[in-house]
Amino acid sequence: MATQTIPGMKDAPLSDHTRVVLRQQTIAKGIIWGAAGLTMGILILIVGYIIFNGLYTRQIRDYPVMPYTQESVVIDGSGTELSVVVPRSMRIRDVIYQDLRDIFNGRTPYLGYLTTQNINAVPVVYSGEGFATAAERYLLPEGRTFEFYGDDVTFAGTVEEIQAIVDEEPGTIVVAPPAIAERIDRTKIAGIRQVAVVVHPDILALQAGRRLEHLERNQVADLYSGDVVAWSAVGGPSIEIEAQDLANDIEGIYEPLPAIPVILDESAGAAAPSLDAIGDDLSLRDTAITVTTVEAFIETLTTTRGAIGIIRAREAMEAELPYLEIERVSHWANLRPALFFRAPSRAGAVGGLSYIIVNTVAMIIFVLLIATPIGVSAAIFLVEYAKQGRLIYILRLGTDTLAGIPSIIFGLFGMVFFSQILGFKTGLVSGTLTLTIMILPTIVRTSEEALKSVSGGLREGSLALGATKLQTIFRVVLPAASPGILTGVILAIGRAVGETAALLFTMGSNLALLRSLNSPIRVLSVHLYMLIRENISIPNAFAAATILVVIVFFVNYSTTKLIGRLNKAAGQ
Amino acid sequence: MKFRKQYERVIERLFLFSATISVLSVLFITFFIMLEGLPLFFRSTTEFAPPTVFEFLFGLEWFPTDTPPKYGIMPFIVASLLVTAGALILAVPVGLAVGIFIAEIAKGRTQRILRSVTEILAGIPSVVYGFFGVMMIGFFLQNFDDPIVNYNVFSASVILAVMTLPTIINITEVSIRSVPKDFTEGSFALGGTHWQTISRVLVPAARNGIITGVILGMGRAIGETMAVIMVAGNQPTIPTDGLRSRVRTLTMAVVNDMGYAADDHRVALFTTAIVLFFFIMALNVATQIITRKSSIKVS
Repeated sequence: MATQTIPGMKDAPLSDHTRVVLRQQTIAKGIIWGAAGLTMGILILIVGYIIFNGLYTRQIRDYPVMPYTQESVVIDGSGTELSVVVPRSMRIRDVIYQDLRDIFNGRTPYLGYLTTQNINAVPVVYSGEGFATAAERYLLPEGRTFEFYGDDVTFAGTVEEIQAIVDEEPGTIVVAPPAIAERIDRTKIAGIRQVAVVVHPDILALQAGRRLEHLERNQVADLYSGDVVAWSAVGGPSIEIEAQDLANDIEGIYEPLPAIPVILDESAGAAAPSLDAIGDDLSLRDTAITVTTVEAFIETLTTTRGAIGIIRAREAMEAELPYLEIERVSHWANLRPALFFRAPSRAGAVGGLSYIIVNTVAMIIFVLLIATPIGVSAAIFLVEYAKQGRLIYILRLGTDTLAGIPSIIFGLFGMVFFSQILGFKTGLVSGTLTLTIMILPTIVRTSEEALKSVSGGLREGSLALGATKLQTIFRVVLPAASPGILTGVILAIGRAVGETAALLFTMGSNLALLRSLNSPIRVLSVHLYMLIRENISIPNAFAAATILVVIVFFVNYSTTKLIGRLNKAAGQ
Repeated sequence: MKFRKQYERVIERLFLFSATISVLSVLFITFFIMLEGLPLFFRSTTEFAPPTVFEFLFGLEWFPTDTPPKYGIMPFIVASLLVTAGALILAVPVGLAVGIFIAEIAKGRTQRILRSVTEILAGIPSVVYGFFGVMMIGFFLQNFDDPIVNYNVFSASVILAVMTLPTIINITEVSIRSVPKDFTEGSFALGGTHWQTISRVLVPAARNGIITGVILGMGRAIGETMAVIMVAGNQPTIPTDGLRSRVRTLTMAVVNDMGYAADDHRVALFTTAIVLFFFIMALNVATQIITRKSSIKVS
């Protein structure tokens, strides 16, 4: 804007004063640029963080087994193999042994937490060729039968029978020999993860206020290969050779506790997992102890300090060996299209957002249907009819004041006036009316500006052609002002979608589909609040927040475009 | 023709009626909040002696479920003022700078982008800000020992500062823009540099508008509910630990208890809302006085 060259700057030396002034200017402008950058940074941080997590979820979870999947497992010495078959629609890639066991003894009837689908488990066992008794030996504690746990488990003796159940029940989980499993249509094989990492009890003991809670898969490999020699390197304990003495201010003295791999030889049969479970091309350290029977394995593991070994989860559970949790990072696309069509359940922990979206859209339509005519009419009165004076001052003051009232006050007013006194109860009507008066100022103000920007010549031309004032307004002024009015409406949508405090007590927070005008329902913003407050599902909260942020972007984009068009039209 | 005239008159009445709805809403809101809240001072039952206005406003203890219950909202008032002050201390300098930047320094594309940034910041729902705050607190708690970013005054102030920033930026920009061109030109003619013109001519001339912006921002901060409720810690006592105190503001008090409150307790929440309402109205009156005094129109 201003030219910043000092006349004769290159020729004459600058005076001290000028130099100081120029330096001040540079510093001040630097600070201002910094503030602008900061503002932009804040926005990018917030929006980026929310959208990134909304689209992509990374979850670190601990599992009691290694992330080593097998399409089928050998049950016992007879060589019987077992596979797990599920309908193709089930969102599950592999299943861990402990979960499988809980499903088949009826302890996990609900599959939502494994698949994020709202379905119940239907466990099915193939009963031909004595397979059911073999499955019992694998899936249930020693000596138990499926009958012991009631009639949760369905037996099916032929492929056709299994097929019928699979086609009927989306929660079907079949255990069958691989040869049978392959013949069932519209299904897939779910991998089985059954390799547990067991350790000497001391490894999991509390030492100096810390405890080894979990390991990553490659840390297990490091302990086996000798890349990591001592347990303390992975957060485990050391050997205490001198105890902590508080009186004499002596901290305990420790010596490293070496990791000693115990390997169950393959001759021990089905219970011995392949070393592939730990890692490919594993080079064993020379201190490793090899045993040939399960009993010897258990014995060695419980008596050798620093021992670590892998064994089938079933044997680990039967012998009650202490096992390490293995950390597994899973990623998935969070905001999938399916989220919009699936109904929420378990308070929003699983399932989609379909009800919430329907409720929100219905709310917005109702709010706009009421608020737009009123707001535009008010603006028409203020611009076209009212003369400067007391009345218009009071009307403006009313709009300004209304715009400044906090949403929680609107919420309280709506609760008392619409829900109780007018008897609309907590529901769509009360919430809509509360929101209407809340967003009215936005619509009135933008419509006012839009009407004012219509040139007087247009009005006069229309009147000169013999049109009445009302005809002029409806046929000439309003069409010319429509982009501006639309801007106000879009801004109002943005405000209505994000509003929470005013809706908590007027619209309610029941996780239900809109069925009647006077029963509590939940909209997107309230849903987000509930998900966080009750800590129900952070990924789902990110998905909801992302939708809200995207709406804000849409509002900003379309209003900028509309205003641009308006300016162009005014310029012509 | 006569019918046409009557029709036009009816429609005009409808326009007038629509225009009065805002005013009517303000009156209704005032009336009904008072109607629900004021009885607290007059309801006398066997087990409940109503508090005086003084006891209510300056009482340090809020034990709504005790017998007899204690309704003192001083902790909430202090908390509201504290987080608002914190927010303004952070937001005013930045908002002022960015307002000046958009109005005077930035050109073309930079200006457009920054204006969009401001609009988007203003448009992000408060519940999303709150969610972001919770996530950040979680991050700090996980990675640091006793971080200042916790459920406390500090976090609430930072979140509120971000939320009030757009208001301050916007109104600063509009105010500076509406200073007549002659001022700028006069300053340049006298040999003022660009920065001297901004700091000694434009900002002083736009002072009233900027103050209005700050007051409006204050109104937004004090009335904000959903973002604060998630990060402020929600402890209904007088803050004693400075920025690290967990607090409950006026708005939080209302939302927190309204779900289950009954009888006197519920009335006391409306009385709390009246206090909040008074704060907002006082700020409103202040902006009205300032805008009327100044020639600068602030939309």
